[in-house]
Amino acid sequence: MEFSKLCETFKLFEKTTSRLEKTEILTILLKDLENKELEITIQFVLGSIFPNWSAQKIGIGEKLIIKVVSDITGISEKEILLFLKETGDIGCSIEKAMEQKKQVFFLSESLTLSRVYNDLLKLSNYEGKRSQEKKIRILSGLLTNASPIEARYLSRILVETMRTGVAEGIVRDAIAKTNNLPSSKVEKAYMVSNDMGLVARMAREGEEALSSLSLKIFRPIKMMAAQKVATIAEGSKIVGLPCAIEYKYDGFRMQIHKKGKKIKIFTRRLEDVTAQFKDVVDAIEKSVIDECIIEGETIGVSHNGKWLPFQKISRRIKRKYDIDEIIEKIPVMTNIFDILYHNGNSLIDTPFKERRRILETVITPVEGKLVLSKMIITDNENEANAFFSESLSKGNEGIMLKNLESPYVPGLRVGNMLKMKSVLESLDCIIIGAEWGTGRRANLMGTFLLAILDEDGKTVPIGKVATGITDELLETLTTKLTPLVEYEKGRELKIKPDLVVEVAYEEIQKSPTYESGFALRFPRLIRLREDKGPEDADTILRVFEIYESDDRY
Amino acid sequence: MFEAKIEAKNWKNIISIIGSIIEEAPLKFTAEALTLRAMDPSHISLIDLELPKDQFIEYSIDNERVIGIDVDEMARVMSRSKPTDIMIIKADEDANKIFITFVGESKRRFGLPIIDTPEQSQLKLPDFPTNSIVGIDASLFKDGIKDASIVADHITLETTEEAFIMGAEGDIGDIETKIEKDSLVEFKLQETCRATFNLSYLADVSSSITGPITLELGLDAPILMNFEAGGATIKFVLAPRIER
Repeated sequence: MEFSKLCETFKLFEKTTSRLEKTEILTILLKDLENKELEITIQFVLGSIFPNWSAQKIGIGEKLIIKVVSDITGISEKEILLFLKETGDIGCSIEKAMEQKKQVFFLSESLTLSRVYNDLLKLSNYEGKRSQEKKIRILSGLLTNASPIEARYLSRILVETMRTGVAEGIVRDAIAKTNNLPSSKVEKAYMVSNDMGLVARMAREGEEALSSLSLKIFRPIKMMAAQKVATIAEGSKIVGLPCAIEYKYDGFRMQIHKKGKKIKIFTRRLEDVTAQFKDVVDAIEKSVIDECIIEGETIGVSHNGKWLPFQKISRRIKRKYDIDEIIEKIPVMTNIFDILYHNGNSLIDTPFKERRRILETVITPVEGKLVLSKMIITDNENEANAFFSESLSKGNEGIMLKNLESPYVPGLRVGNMLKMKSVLESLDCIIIGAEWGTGRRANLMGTFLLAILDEDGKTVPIGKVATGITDELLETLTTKLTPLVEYEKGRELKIKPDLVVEVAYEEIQKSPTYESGFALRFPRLIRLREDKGPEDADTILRVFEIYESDDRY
Repeated sequence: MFEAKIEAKNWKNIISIIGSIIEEAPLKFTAEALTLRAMDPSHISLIDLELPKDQFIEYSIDNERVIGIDVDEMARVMSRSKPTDIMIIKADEDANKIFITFVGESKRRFGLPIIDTPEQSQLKLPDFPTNSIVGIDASLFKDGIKDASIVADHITLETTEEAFIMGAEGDIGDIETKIEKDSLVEFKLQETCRATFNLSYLADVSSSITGPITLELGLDAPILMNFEAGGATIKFVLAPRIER
């Protein structure tokens, strides 16, 4: 298939906001693809070059793309950066540069999907000293042959952000529709295989082939995620009583795969960190005999046996050399709390209480190294609250509440598993922009652009907040911000960084939308922090730490 | 069977020029010469090289063949040669290897894999009108390029009735090198002309040239550089940048 055909589809996606239409567009495209093309197309549509479980990466950033495009078009990097500022999108910026290209090419061949994919594959295989130059040559070759519109989507594929509003849900529905299968079957197959391309191919062969997809050892699956609750009473309504309550350890979550002598450890982001955690591997070897996939939380332990907060051990994930030294310095203990696969059988549909029972037979605790997570089963709120206090006193973050009958649901934040922490999380942010409200609130500022500080103390945006603000607070904010307005553009206002506000959120996410590289999920403005100046606002480093530690459940 | 003997410094020079344009080179060995024609991955430039048989100390070949080499790897091997070394190039297609032996005080043999790279002999040299021919000493040309690189990533080459001008304009300033026709090796003018080029391509390719270079130029047309290096006759064509 010509790459341009896929780009036409991307363009159609961007023209509509309707989920149904997007699904229809994709369904049409998927129908007449060859198997290999189908897998590549699915990955590209999802904005990831390789399947989720794969550790393969191409390692191309916006900077490198801009450099290459500047080189082949004769448009300076500075100009392209300006385009990026205007459009906020690498794809549109590169497209614009290609449209205005000054450089003449001797030859141009049309790109095929397989050529694009094979070149990306080459990019992921280069490493070492001269890999950068080699990558530049491959990129030049690809982009030279790309039309402006192809360059738009090629750049987005390279940075793995499609911005077409098509995510797993639509892809799942389109696969189902193309093959006349129920979406739920496709969803299930995806959950256990973590490979949408493979799912699309198997779906072609029918329902039976699709259902044959199962958990596979050493192919990590997305971890079940927890919702947040504030109180035991709120939590027990969701998971039912009695429920299981466990310590919420302040460490990082691991999915451990073991078969024979081979052991692999994956993070929540499915990165392979086996090499960094040789000590955990040793503990598993001593503790576990069976073939299995188990999950646990690994925490740092000081030499006097005290549990350490996450920040202390986060360094271990990133450490690539002198691993023995850091293992010595920051010993860890793993608390196993779930089992997904056991001796050839998937357990994800098995109720939690049964999984826990199996887990207890699989794990032989190795004191101080690898143990079962501390758990109680109770229907008593007082007992639950006491357990929560006990957990906090041990240095943990809080507790987990689990539905005893629940299956393991990969990747989803469904109400089977809850987390309850001691404090509501919030950040101190600086207001650097605002928008005038509409309707009743037209004379008040309504939406606020928030920033944190980067390493150099410069403000970098992290998100917008428009909810959780009372009319009274809006009035105060409008009064206080009015003298700080630098200029107005339509409804938007640019504001001199001065005012600090406390913003609560559900979660910190990675995001290309804002310059900080992060975004806040469900931000709510709590209050003004007039006691704080802009220099006291939270920093990108702090946000990164929270992100690292928060990304575990 | 293919085996040839050549002065190592000549081969090193040739490899360095090829390496500035392409990463994988399909070297074509015929009864008369080694030839190479290839385009860089961005399709902005093209190199055409001929190293005649008599430039080798010895040259023996049974059948015409194309041997693909990784130019960077070859350049690394050549960096180990000594200026007075004689080298033997031998292709062993059964082992899929090309052997380089440096013969000096000792004999040092390197083996490199022969790689699969499509022959590009069907590539035609682009056809374009040239209105000016400028013969210039390599050092003068390189100076003009180095000067331009201070302010920009491109360079404008221009001929007037009296001179050859190399100029560049960038954010931090502009620069101009003017060479009167009396200081040039050759100067033929049908019409004055002017064209702009990517600087890094010209810089890379000219860095290993030592003798005179003949430039063929047109109005917003590609530049054709003719020069010799390591006994090879080389044509290098670079497509222009055109302001819109």
